[in-house]
Amino acid sequence: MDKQLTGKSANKGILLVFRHAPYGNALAREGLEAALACGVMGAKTDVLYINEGVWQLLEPQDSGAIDCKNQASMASALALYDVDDIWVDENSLKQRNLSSADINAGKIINTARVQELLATSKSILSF
Amino acid sequence: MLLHTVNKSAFNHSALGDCLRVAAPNDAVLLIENGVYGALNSSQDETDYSQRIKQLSANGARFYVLRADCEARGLDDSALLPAFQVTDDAGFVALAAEASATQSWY
Amino acid sequence: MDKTLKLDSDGHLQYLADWSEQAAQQLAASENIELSEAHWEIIYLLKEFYQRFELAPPMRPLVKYIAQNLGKEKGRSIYLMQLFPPSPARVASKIAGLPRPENCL
Repeated sequence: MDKQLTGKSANKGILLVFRHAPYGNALAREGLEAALACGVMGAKTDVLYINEGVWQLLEPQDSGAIDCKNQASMASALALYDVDDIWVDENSLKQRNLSSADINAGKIINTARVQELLATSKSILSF
Repeated sequence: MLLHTVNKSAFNHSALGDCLRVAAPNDAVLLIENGVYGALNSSQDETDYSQRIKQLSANGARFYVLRADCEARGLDDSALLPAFQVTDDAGFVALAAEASATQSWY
Repeated sequence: MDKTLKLDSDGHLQYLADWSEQAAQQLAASENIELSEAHWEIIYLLKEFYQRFELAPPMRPLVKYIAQNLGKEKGRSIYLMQLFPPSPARVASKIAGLPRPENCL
């Protein structure tokens, strides 16, 4: 199964795929909590924001009036929890008329890199 | 090889389209639950996703539907796009075991 | 001293708004800790962490954050262990009025 792992960029860790917008349901928040837990337990953890998930990266977010934890504030703690590899799907940004100036974190990657990330992860958790 | 599972109908949800946008030629795509509607050979103009399925399939990607979910919904094998093979729970397990990881689109 | 602090089943403050330095001293006493300048520095940083990230940090992120803000000498688990035994992330969170850290092993 390891035969398609591609050398230096092989990730071989846990990939968390965030595909849903924040606040409408609990998925975004649960995904973030899972990422923080994976990171703090020392697992090699990557996060990919794709499809509706890219809305999670908009700032500023002020979720006080809807009584939810601020998703962007929580996400900004990822590096402290040793989750340093945060990726954002370029195509998903384009579809939503967003650019790097609109988002608060992550490295923007094209579809080929997204495919590589998926193919080289040992396990994928989708939120 | 990556296994993609899709459990939402292509007619009201972007899950299948999102999946097909990043599925690679050596991957397998398995439609389950309401996802099986995505395997239908639409009588209308060819939608984007059925084109993409045809193209990926020609390049080596494998497409499956879960038999029980098709039967439950009254979908006959003859109504499916030619790229699709019908499989069962054992086939699902075998695909998951063969895959380096599974991405579920929901 | 206010004896009527509302606590949850873990002994943490139920409402962050109830926190005061007096409350902190009372919570610290329940852990047999007498608060010094060194303690307060960590407690206020922990409150800042919570305000900024809306998370009560477990050990590793806490150590990292302290190292970033107070320097590497203090950003070490042994230093925190001396101040807040036996489980620094849990004990310090409690005294700072935060909920028990999630993912706290």
